[in-house]
Formats: sequence, structure tokens, C-alpha cells
Amino acid sequence: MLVSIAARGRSFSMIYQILQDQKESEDVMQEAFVQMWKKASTYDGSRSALFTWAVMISRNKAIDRLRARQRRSRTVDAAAAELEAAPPEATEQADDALGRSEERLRVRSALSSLPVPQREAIDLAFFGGMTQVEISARLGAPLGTVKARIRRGLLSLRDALEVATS
Amino acid sequence: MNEALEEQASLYALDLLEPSECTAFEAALESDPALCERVEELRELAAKFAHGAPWRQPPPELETRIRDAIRATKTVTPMPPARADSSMSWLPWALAACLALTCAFLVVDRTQTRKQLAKLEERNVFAQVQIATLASQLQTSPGATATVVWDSEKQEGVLKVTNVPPTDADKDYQLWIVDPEYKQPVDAGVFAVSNDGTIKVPFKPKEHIGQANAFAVSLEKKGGSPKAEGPMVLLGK
Repeated sequence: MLVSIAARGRSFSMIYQILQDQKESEDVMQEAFVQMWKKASTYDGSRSALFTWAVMISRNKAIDRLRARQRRSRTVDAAAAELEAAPPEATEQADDALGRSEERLRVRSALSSLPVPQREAIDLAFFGGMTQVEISARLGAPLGTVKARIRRGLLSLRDALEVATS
Repeated sequence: MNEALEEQASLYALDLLEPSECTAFEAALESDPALCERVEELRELAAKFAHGAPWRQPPPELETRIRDAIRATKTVTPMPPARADSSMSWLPWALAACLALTCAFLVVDRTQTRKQLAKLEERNVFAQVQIATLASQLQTSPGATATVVWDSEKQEGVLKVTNVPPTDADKDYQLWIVDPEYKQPVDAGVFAVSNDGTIKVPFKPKEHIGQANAFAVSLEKKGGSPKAEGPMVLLGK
């Protein structure tokens, strides 16, 4: 299977969103790409998209760094604030240049359609690197509820993307 | 799939399972292809949350740092006797991938005008690199695999091979590129794997490749063949 690796420019933004620190984000970005280089032979295009592979490697590196410095609470708060205040124009311009505008808009639209409690729970896991228990404590919701929100959130995203495609 | 299992799969996709849960879930994954498929689907969905991060411009010098870091880690396998042009510039295959990846965000400045962006699109620099995963065609070595990174603009690529059995002394593996412009697959050079069945080798095809529809590796006589004659070893399309 041939996969164009065009337009994979979300990694740095995602890493920064997790770490909220320019220098650390650059270091993690470098580590992530070196790891991709080392692990490239294990990439299986029949199992996952290159985007997913690259994003997950970058995210894991960033989460490792986040946990190491134990500043989770502050950065998650900052991340949440920035998500709210994000200027859409900058993202649009960048992604337009990548020829990814349509896909990005489709995904962002689908993400914005998620019920807030579901989006919140997944954001805390994805960008905050929190455990189930930590998410439960942060949201003041029972553990079972958090698990259900995460499952429903992913399925809601799938449904929203399908609707956007059709 | 029942809700409980799907919930576990969702948590697994986001690395949220506790270690003991994770071990049990991974054991279940090994014997359940449908569950594996579901996990992959959920991981793809989870990865899309990356789009939720506001755009952040990395500094231009980060690209150089990444290049240097990759160069520092690379272990270059000596090029075996090959019919491919040995004078070609070496393109570290991951560098190509990384370059494309980094270019995607390094070259774009949020203050650039629409005109500049249109120029970038015209250059289509992001679409020039492809990755192909080649699967084994050998019943005797089902674990054989390879990855090709192909830079269509530079007309160069790098092949990385894993778990491919070493050849007899009178044989070579030969890489081919399938381009609809040519009746026969285009010769991209020969290579031999090391004793552990791996090699990482740059290649440059004999003809200009306009559209790489597939990559294949066959087992040929020593030095290679003008056209593919031997058994197919790896194929990715």
C-alpha cells in the first residue's frame, strides 16, 4: 500500500498542546522523529494509517515527558484554556498550505459536535496523559461514568465523521 | 461486540488501561482478529484528537536539529554490488520521511499570504514522498517485510528490509517499481541481505518514475536481470 506522507504537520502542535513549553516541545519532537526513524520498519500500513502511527509515537513521547516533570495539573489547565481561545485562522492557513484543509475542517467539525463531557474526558486523556482515576477525580464523575464517556466519545466521533463524509 | 469489551478497547486505544487490565486485554487481542481490528479503528479515532490542538509554528532550525539527530543514529549498511547507480547521493530514507513530515509544518508560517501558500501547493512538496509497506510473498518466510520510502522529485528512495532470508551466493534480490508508463517493472537495483535478514539500502531506478503504483522484490540471478524473471519475494501496492 502506498501512503503519501503529505500533510502530517499536526505533531508539533499536539506536542505543544500537551507540554505547553516551547523548548520541551522541540526536544520531544526531535525524540519522536528519531524514534520513527528507528521504528520505521515496524510500521504496518495495512494496520494503521501513517498519521495515526506518527501521532501516537509523538503523543507517547510527549506524555512521557509530561509525567516526568509532574506538572500535569498546571499544563492541562493551560491547555484547556488555549483550546478555548485558539484562533482558527492560523490553523486554517497552515492546513490550507498542506492541502489538508478539507480533512482538518471535517475532523474539527466532528470534534466540536461531541458532547462536552465526552470531549472533556478524552481531551484529559489524550492531551493530559491522565489515568482513568485522575480523570474521574478531575471531572468529579464516577469511574464507570468516565469510562462510558470515553467509549461513547470515540463512537460519537466516528458517527460524526461518517455523517460529514456522506 | 459487547459494550464492556468495546469499553476496554476504547480505553486501550487511549492508553488508559491499568497495567493488569492491559495485560489481560493484550492476551485477548492475540486470539481475536475482530477485536484487533476494532482497536485499530478506535486508535485511528483517538489520533484524530490531535486535530483539536491549536496550530503551533515550530522554529525553522528544528528541522536541522532533527536531520542531525537522525544522521547521528543511522547505521549505514555498506551498499552491496548492485547495478543501480552507485554515485547517487545517499538519501537517508527516514530523513526523507521526516523531511516531508517536518516540512509540513516548518515551511508554513501563519503570516504567509495566500499567494505564497498557493505557490507551496503548486510545488506540492508534501506530496512527493511516498511510503510503501511490502508484504511477504514467501510461504517459507511469512514474516519477511520491507518498507520503501520513495521521493518522486529526487527520483531516489531507500529500501529497508527485515526478516528476508539470505540468498545463495549466485543470487541477488532485485527491487522493481511498477509504473504504468512502462510495460515492464522498472529495475531499481539489486541488494543482498545480511545474515540477520535485514538491510537498509538506497536505490535509484534505471528509468524515470512518473507514478510508482507498486514496489516489488524478486529473487534473481547474481547481478540482477533486465526484467523480473525470478520468484516474487515482497510486494507492496
